[in-house]
Amino acid sequence: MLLIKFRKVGTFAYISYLDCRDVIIQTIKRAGIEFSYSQGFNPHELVYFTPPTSLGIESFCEYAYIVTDYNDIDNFVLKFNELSPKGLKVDWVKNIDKKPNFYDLIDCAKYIIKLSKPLQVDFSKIDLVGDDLEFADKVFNISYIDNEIHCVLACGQKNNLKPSKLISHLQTIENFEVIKIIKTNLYNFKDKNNLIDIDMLL
Amino acid sequence: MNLNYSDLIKIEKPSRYLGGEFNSCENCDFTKISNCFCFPDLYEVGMSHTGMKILYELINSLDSSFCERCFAPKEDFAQMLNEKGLKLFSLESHTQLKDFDFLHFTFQYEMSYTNFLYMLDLADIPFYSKDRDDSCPIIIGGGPCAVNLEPLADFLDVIIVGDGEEVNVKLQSIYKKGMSKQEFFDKIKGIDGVYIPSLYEINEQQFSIVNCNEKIKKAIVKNLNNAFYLSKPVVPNIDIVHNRGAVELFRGCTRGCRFCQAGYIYRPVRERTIDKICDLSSSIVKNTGYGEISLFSLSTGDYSNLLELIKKLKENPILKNVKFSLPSLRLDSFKGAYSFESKKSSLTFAPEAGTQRLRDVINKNITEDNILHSLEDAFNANYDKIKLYFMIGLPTETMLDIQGIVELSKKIQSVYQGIKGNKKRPKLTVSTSIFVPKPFTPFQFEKFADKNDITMKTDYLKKELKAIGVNYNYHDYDISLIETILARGDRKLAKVILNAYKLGCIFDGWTDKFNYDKWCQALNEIDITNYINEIDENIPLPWDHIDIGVSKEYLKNERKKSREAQTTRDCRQGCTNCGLIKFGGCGVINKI
Repeated sequence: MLLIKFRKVGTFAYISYLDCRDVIIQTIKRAGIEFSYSQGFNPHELVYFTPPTSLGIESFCEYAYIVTDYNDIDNFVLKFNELSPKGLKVDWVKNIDKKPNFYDLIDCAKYIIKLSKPLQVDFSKIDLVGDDLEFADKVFNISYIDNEIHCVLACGQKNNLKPSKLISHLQTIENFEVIKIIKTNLYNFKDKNNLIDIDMLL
Repeated sequence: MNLNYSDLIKIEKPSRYLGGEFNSCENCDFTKISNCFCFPDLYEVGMSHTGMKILYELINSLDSSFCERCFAPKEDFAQMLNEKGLKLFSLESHTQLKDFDFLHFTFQYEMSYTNFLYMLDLADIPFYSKDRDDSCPIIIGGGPCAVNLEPLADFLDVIIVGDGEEVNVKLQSIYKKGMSKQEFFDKIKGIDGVYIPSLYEINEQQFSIVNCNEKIKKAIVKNLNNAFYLSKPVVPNIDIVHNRGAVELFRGCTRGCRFCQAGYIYRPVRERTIDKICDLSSSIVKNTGYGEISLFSLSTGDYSNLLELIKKLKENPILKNVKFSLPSLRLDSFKGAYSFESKKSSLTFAPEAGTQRLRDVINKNITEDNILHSLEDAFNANYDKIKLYFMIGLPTETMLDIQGIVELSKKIQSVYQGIKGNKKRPKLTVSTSIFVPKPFTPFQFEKFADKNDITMKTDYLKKELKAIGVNYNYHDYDISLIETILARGDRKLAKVILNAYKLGCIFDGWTDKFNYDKWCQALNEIDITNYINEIDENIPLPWDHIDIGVSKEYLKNERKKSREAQTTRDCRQGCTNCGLIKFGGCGVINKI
């Protein structure tokens, strides 16, 4: 069984979660790697993914767990990256024995939101955390650096905040365009000052 | 491309416009001859078209050329381009269409004509070829509609009639960067399949070509087995209409159904060998990861050795988990073909007419026994979903023929009950389309049906089929009417199509987008009766200057036979003298 970490960047960020799943399966098939299939009337490939990233967000922290007898991890990376479409690349692969529970592990994600211009309003003075009830327990961290907003937002089954919602809220204060959004890390939340990158836990 | 997250996130399925798919062209070097293949419909429709994929891969296999793609965008994307002052661009290098040497438009159906103008408009390219100087791309039209593209003749620089594989390579080898259009046209005129509309004059009364000393012969790929075929098709990142591999078993059809344009314009039949089909299927599976291959042709059951082919494909280790589908099966030739299917899904057949008399008129050459026996086999093989296609508004049709559709459905239900027990019914769906007379068929001269007549017939079918528990779908009359006008159109229609586009008609093939009132407004200037009434066999036709190989005399004679409900044999059983032998040979005869 394999655990893969992959990225979807550039125009591939505009491929939806389900389509991305199909593209990954097709790429692995092109590489000649055989899957294990579910039993039943409509057998399907046994592949499990981390929670969906919204359409249009580039992500460097996507993970998938693949049930297969194939275990040549170096060759997997090489073959996959040679046969994948533009913008979809695997960073690493691990052989594992136990299926990780992504939904239990993941609590929040870090995003970098690149803006078309520097903001005029001093966002640091707006107390987002606590100011808006909707965001109160979903924004873990937020800062503004040049033309970028860096933030850690709730992500997963327990609690979730899409960056687009935060952006819409900020745009009511000052209008700006978003050039791109990048999801950089997924974290497990121990406490406010203790976010553990799930790379360390997988 | 100056589009960011804020722009693209507002668009429905932005990936339609962004490219980046596996096997797409990455080496877009504009010092080479630049081509963009343009499909006048959405990405999901265009990417399901095998012809486009063949020419795309073919041009990209040449050293001195490359080819990109572009599809008609949805209105939301078009609006955004306009708002941002951007022009329609290609998927691969995001280059605006204006900057290519060649734009290749394919016309698969007449209702895509306004989308062609829509794409030119979004690309900021003048509509009329006379208004485009050498800085504009050379615009080429092709596809099945190319046999009569007179309605678009004023907009296109070159029309390619017939098989595109060889003639496109010739054109690429003749063209040199920086060459003037005139110089290029001088060099390519006379090549089989090349029609340059601007070189021909029109008879203003009849709107047919007057200065045509020699007809334009369609291009034929004589040996399909050795012809280029795709092995590395672009694999879309999003789901499309036909998301699977496709291998063409043969081109052409020998049946001679009198309404069917494809049956005449793609003659003669040329088959690929079993080995070739196995090789192509394996390469496509290896290079795409597809789990399904469609083995297509105009009549797949007619492939000379279908059962042997199925056996060989099943034996091939690379194809062991691949599902094969066999579209376009005839009721008399599908026996055994369904042994391919791992799961019992629905079967679709096209008897086309409800009575034997009318099936003989249209030369469908299947009997009621064929239909019932084939369905008996299918029911025995546990199929219980059957779709049947019929046409209404056919020449000589009476209410008896329409009743025949209901009667046939009842007989099919009885066959099913004979096998499965009296209380059970198959899931039977009947669909009717309206007969559209098409150029280069024996029925090219026929009248298009009246609306009252069609309404009466569809109302009857709705009532009677519902009473026996059969689902019924039917085509829109108004779309078929416009399709007839465009199919048998002449150069007078250029203005009409442009007017229709300016009034807002786009995506006319989509029933929810088709706007009949606007089309009527655009058609105001001309007398449409000339296009929908019966055409006198003796007057010149707007497409008479095109030679598809089948002679006009043959078509007239076939029409005459149809009036007497006389059938013509499948030409695999003996030549019927359609004219192809004189045209340059017909492989079917040699083969049999």
